[in-house]
Amino acid sequence: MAIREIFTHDTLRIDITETDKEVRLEWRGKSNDRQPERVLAPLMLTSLERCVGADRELVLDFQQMEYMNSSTFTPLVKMLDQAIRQMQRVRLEYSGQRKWQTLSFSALRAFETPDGRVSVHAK
Amino acid sequence: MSASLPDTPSMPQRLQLSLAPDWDTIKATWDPCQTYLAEQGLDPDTAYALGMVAQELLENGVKYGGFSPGRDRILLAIDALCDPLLIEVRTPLGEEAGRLEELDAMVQWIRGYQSPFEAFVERLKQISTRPQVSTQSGLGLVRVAYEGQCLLDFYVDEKDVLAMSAVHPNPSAQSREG
Repeated sequence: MAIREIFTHDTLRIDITETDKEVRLEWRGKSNDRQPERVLAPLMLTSLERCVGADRELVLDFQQMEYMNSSTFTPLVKMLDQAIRQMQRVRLEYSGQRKWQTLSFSALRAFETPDGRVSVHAK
Repeated sequence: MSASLPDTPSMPQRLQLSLAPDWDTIKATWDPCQTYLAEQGLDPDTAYALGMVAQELLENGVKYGGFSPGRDRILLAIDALCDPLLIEVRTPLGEEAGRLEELDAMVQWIRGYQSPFEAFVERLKQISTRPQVSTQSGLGLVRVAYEGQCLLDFYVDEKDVLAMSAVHPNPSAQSREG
């Protein structure tokens, strides 16, 4: 049975779905807080921890995201770094139909691991 | 937020906003910027990218600015009819030591890369290994160069106002010439 939660902060909404196979975070709206790391870093690290020991993949789906300021990338790439060091599985999904997402998220392919544990995908 | 546009339709139009230096006001400029850029005939992707540039420059304007009575406004100007297209943010310079040097170092660091994409990726990697609580990332300015495809510059005028600018090849002007 899936566990569903909703995280909201200002104009940002993240729908969280936890199943046996994955913890999925679907991002919607705008993330343009002055210090998004304060709220997003704990959320992402907690989400990563929910995958530990359960062989779950953490999926971050940004397809419905309208805008992210540059500060939003900070907690994201820190989480990716931690996932790489802890040998965890993380999948990023973005819209290949939106140019800004293609530019932003294709740069995050630099964090992909050769074994595919951390991967970035255009949808 | 107050806005002004020249009232003669045949004159080159420039968006100018005088803003209180707070985060909510900065965020509220997104829609007027998009409306202005669309009215100037820019395609949605370019308008979006330049809206992002304006947001990132304004965020830096708040962070680098020093505000006091009489010096408590940030000015945003976008001229989408000149070529290159210009986005400029002017903010009273703060007295905090080292901020201008920090900004200069970041702009020079970006210019040191042949490809803004490489600079963006390198900055992301640097940020990823920093301690959880850290100071300004500088990623916004790199993003202006990479995603916004803009050249960055800045200067401080005789009134200690910091002017940060981003220039972008103007697709509308180029199509007019073509």
